[in-house]
Amino acid sequence: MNRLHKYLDNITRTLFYYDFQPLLFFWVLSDVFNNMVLWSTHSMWVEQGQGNTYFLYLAYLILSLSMLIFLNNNKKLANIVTLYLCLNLFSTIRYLVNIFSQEVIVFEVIDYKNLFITLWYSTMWFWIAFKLKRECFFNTLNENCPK
Amino acid sequence: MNENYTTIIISVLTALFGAGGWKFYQSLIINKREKEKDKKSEQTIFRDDLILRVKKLETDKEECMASLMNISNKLASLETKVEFLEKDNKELLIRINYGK
Repeated sequence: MNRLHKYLDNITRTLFYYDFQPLLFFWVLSDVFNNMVLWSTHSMWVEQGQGNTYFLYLAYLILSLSMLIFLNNNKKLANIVTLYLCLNLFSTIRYLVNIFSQEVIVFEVIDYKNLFITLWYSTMWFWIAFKLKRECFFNTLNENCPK
Repeated sequence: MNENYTTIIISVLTALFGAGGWKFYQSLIINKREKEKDKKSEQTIFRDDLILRVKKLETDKEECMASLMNISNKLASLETKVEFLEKDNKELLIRINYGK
């Protein structure tokens, strides 16, 4: 009970005093609520011939929840965000490959919008992962460096 | 299926390049830190050398002051002696002149 209290206290402090963590908290929470795993079933995706997409969303959900759980642990959070970024890059690349592997590539305004948003999200995740990893790296350097 | 392979290969390559880029960035930062550390140690050596030199100069200055005081004392006593001798000399000259 004491440990749980300490953990919740840590999370509250992190949300109040840290830079990226509050942003991640709100962003990831909305991501969790938007996750299709919560609002659909695997069979529904299989019917549409996209059974693997369900598992992609599941991976997103697991990583999002992990981020929320390890919000106060910078090292683990950085690793989870890096994994999330990899997943995001995978989705982005899959989307791009899908577009460019069509025989006739027709770009409409909606495609440009989708492409822009996908790349924008990738950039955002890249930036967050970079900042977190950089912070961890500098912390490690400062720990090893005698003052 | 072919599309899936393409996606996986491109993703793996991107991840590998990303990891490589990160390692490169880390090495840049570590090198920068090492250079700063070297510069700091050079500055520390220079500062320690300056402290030693100032200490030595202060000791020398104190020795010189002591010796100057000693010389001043001796000079003062010699001045007094010379004054008395000059006085005696004058008296002796006067006596010699009267004696003639």
